[in-house]
Amino acid sequence: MNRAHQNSLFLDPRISRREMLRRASNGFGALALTALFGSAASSALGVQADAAKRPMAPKPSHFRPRAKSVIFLFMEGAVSQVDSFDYKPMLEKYHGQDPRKAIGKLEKTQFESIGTVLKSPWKFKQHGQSGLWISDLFPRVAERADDLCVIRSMTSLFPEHTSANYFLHSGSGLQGRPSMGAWVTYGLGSLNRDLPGYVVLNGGQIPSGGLDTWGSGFLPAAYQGSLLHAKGTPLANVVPSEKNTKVQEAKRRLVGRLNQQSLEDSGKVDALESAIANYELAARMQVAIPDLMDLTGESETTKQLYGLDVAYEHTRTYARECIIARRLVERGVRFVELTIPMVDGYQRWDAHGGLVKNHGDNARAIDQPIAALLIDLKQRGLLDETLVVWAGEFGRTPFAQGSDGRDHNEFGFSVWMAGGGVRGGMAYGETDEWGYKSTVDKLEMHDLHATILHLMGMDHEKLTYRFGGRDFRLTDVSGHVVRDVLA
Amino acid sequence: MNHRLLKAVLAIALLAVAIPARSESPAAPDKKFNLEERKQKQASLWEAPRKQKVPTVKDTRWPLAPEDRFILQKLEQAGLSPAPRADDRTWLRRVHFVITGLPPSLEEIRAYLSDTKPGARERVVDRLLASPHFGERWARHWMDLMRYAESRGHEGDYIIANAWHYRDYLIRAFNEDVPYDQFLMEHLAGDLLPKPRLRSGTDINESVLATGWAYLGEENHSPVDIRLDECERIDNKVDVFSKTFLGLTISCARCHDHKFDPIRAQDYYAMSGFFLGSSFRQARFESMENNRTMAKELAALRERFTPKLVKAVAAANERGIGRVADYVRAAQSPERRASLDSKRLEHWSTEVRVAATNATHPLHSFMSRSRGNETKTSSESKESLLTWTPSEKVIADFTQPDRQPWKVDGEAFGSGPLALGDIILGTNPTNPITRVMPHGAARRDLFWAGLKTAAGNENDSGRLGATARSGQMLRTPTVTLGVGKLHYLIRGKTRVYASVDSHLMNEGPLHGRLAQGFDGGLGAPRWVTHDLTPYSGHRVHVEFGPDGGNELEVLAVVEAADQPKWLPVGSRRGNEADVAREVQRALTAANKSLSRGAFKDATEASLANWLVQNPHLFRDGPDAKTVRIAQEFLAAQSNIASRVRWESRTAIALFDGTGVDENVLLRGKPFKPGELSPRSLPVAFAVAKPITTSATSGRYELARQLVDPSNPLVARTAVNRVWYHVFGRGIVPTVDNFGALGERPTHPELLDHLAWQFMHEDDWSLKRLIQRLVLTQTFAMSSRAGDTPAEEVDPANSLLHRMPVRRLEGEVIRDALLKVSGRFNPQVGGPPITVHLTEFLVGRGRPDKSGLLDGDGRRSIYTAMRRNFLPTLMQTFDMPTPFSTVGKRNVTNVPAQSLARMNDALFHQQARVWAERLLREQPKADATARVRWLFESAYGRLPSDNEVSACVESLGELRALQPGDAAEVDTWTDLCHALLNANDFIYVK
Repeated sequence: MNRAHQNSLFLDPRISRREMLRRASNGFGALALTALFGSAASSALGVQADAAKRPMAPKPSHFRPRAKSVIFLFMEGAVSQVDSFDYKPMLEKYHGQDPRKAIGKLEKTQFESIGTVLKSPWKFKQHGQSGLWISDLFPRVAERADDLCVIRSMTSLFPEHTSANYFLHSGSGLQGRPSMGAWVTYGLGSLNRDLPGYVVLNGGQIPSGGLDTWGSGFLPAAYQGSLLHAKGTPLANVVPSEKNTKVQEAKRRLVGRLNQQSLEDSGKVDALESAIANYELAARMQVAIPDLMDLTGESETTKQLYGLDVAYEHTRTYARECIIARRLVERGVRFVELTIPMVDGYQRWDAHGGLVKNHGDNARAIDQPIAALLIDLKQRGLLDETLVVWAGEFGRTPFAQGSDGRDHNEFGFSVWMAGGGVRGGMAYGETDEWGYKSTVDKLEMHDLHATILHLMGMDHEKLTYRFGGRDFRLTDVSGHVVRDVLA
Repeated sequence: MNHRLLKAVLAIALLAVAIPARSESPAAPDKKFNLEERKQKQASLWEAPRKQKVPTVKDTRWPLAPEDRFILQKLEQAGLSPAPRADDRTWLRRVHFVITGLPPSLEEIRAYLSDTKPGARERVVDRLLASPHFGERWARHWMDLMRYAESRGHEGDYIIANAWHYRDYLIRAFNEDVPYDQFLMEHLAGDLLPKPRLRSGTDINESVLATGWAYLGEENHSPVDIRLDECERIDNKVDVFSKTFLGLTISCARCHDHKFDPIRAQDYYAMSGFFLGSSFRQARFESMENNRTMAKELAALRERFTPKLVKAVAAANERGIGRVADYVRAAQSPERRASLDSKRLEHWSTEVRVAATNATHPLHSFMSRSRGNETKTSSESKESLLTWTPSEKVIADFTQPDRQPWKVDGEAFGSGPLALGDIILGTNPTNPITRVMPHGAARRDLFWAGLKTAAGNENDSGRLGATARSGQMLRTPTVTLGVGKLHYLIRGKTRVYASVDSHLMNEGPLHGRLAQGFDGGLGAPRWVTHDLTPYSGHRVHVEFGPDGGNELEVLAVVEAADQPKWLPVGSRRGNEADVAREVQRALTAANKSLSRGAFKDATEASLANWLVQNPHLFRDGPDAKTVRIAQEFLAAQSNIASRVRWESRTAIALFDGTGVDENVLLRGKPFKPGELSPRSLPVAFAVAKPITTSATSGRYELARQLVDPSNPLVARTAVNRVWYHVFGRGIVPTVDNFGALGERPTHPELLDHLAWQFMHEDDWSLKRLIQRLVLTQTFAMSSRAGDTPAEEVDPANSLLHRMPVRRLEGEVIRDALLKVSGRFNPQVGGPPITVHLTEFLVGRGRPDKSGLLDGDGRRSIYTAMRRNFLPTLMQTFDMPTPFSTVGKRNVTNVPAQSLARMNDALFHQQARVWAERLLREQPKADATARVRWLFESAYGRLPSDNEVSACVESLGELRALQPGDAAEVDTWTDLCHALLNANDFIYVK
């Protein structure tokens, strides 16, 4: 490539990469040209221009990725860290005392209904060779301790669900910003030609913040999370509306002929050409998605492993989500997110009261399926290239709200990752002796995002999209890759 | 270096990395910010548009309009020639979609094709610009800029009550071609115009509706950090405003000086002040103008009758007052009853007894003394002008006129605080004076207590109560809370909203205390306390609203740790030995003052007030003269009342408060306020002059500066947006950003030509501009990408060597479906159409019921815009998420769109409606003729022979696949569905 072209790419924002491709067209495919440019060319405006035309085409990463896909287990409503992955004996010692005396000055909480210091109703034990402390809230997941990289020093900026959900997903507390799944797909494209690049499996719970939690914001709509229902019709309009499939085929043939003629008449305008390709992809999705959701080919052992046969309905729902997540990853989908089942109405993990029942039931729904997912991925050799992330939008207070609940706490909480290039069997960071605030190796949301992108082979500072006069990033103007957790 | 500062520095370094390298390295903020240097980089952008010379071109036969010459000149310079003209049918379909967003009907096509006289195209354009559907099309464009929605998103997706009036305002404004400068003035200061624009043929206030845009954003229902939350809302308003009207991203400067543009952090905060000094209301836009006039008539009427009435009443009391001393003596010493009326004496006895013990009774100081009871009362020796203690911060003192700007919504508090001695007239003709104000106060005028909101009007969400206060609200200036305890000196009942940090979506656990009811009783004014201590250090203004039909007087709003003792009503101690004579003398004086209409002091006014309220102490029956005057007055008042508009709908609107200047906030966060940044346009604008008024928000002054023809960005931004909608690409392609990070104009001289013409020749007329553009030769070109070298030289078509092929927007696709099938319902305006819910539209706040699949055939613009439940089909086709200004929509190409075309129920439903229409209208036609009819309806053109045979073949195939009992319409439905799936339906060539 000659120098003039390189200059024009980097210095003149008027000329997009796509136009360049057109200029240099004969004989060069997109990937060939990318190879010539090296990874730098795929950054910034180059990717952005490609995104408009061929949104799902695979794009080179910035450097060698550790993970090809992400499975994000979203624990909406906020799991209590001191009842799960952050063991704090002090809470037993000071149980029932005034936290303002025991802990000191407290931050404002959502409900300002401060009860006493509350010890965990669950027992903590060390697990695996690593000896990670995990409570018996998650007995099956605890058995996978040596796969887990628990981060105990996570923080958020928002103590209120909606903003915190947006923040966890998009790096901004505001509505309308692209979700991380959209960013990942924008940056890397998809490895599957017949499925969307970012799939959200819905177990029943829609987070506060609504469908925009998985939005593409200012990124092209192609990157928004496609919501697949774990039960019932999986995706809007994916089931052919004609009873007789031949009718649709006949129509498609006619549409194809008319479109072809229209394309010729237009002088082969790009937009019409890609619309034709897109129509064909949609037709294939009508087959690919039902095939994806059909678990009849799974072995009985697998089904039992996940818990598809257990009595508790919500465990079965989440088991189905986890198996489908694995099947999506097998099919090359980049980003899969799972929402939790409707265990406790709209309560989610949001245990402002009745902690034991709320957390107990939620854990019962997800514990076995998640453990099974880790086992199954490992057995199939997929865990190494699949990053599993378990996180809620914030944590909960170590003192009670009222008598038997816990309020929101964004100052320190636990999340974990597994597979995909992270070190198993480790804990990173610490909260204070109460599990209240992050004290050692405090992490911010943008650090988590930077690390996820890094594992996917992307430099979070280079994955940008220009919108309204600014280059936006998932990590805004912050974020550090947490090197200590990399395998 | 502290953590935050370190982050800021890092952030700046990172941002610099994220932006592609340019010839100049980005300046570090603050120190190196050089305004003039930055303006110089885009010098022409910061100068007012100048009249341009129309370029000379080689091919002088091609151009039809001056604009064509600007286009042709660049093409010729590049060695290109423009594409040939598109055929008539293509042009017609194109111009229909551009102007009205609807495809031409068969009749419209035929009328145009058969119009062979010169000027046929002009006639089409005139017809389309005059169509009510023009306003709908361009209103929808504008709604993208205003992040239009009818709910507040977040967790509960609470409704924005009555938001749709803003949408209908837009439709009317575009249809009536309101000049753009007026349109802008209305958006920023429609509530402050000396002469608001009225809806034609009515006295409905249109201008105020425009200000509703400010409240179309998201709101959080229970933010823990209420101030941080406010920063986000204000940021959104500044962002929307500056992108829309200025084509600048000023909100970039929230955290630091703009990286490239001549916009400093101070400029961002200087813009914030305009919104911080304004607040939310539900405006009675239908009744406010009429009732303003009625209030003036009412005031004049009262002014005319009050002197007559006080004279009559005083005269009627005179004789009775002359006997007061006798009655007081008799009431005190039973032996002196002779010659006195026994009933009246009974009244006096009661009164004297009460006065002796009740410290607030106007005769108390006399009677307590006469009984030898010399204990001092709290009010004793207090005068109305006593000073406040230093720890009492007076926020509003309505006992004094003009102590603070008078901020009221509607007429219910009159045109200013009442003064001591002002007369209140009631509706009882025998006793028409109900009150002599013993003190100054902002008083609710119960004449207006009958105001109502119209049936169907929505109440706003949560505890705010703005709808209930609408048109009957009194507002204090905005202050910053210190100790956080507010004390209100009131008489009567009120519902109060303390607007802390302009929080308005008040629901959920945290901020309930902001909305409270208070009762000051109906005796002397009383202090009540509104405890806002958690909000110490936050900004607040207080809104007093009515509580049912109850009286209300607000005297003072004070912040202090403890409830103040101050009272405006004192009573002086008499010093005569003969108490009875002294009472009589005082009452005689008060009665004289009443007659004269001027009181010596508060004591005297209190006495007069007591006097008029107790006629039975002075006379036995009605006074004929008083009754006669009062009846005359009441008849005139009833006449006014009959012309008052008691019912009105309400709409979201700005309400003007007092001047607030924002501090520069480090990193955009409120924890660390820096220096004050006085309200102003960014200083980069030559027209910017600081706006220093403290009595208003300053929005009106700001708006004047914006529409000044020397403003370099307002007209350019506007004409560029129109160009973008007409030609599919802006002259500045980044239509919301003309700054350094936007793209440069492809035709800068053309942009200036249009901007100058727009302001100086066309009087800011958008219709005239659109008319000019669609009648150019440029617009008439074919979109065919050809075998010409143009595709190589100008691959992005930035020189406009041909017209672009464009995909229709989601709303237009749906509208076209309805229009083509014949289901289209042309009704313009009205409440939103409930969104059709599918199993994929789920979440909290889900509407209770689902709307019809075809939305009653109404245009897409009328579909309810609930933030968390946006209409799926339109979203699939890139309708933007309403979070901030989106001047240029994404045009994506995703499988969900194709899946919708294949399987969405609306496509299938409308295919059937269309097929039924075909068989109804073409019952005898053969297949070929029917296919031609379908092509013409859907694509505005006739099919080629190939297309006809493809359809006829397919028809045979489809018929064969039908079950045995299928009707003819079933087969045609399948064919129609396929035609709606073909690209020509959703693309415009």
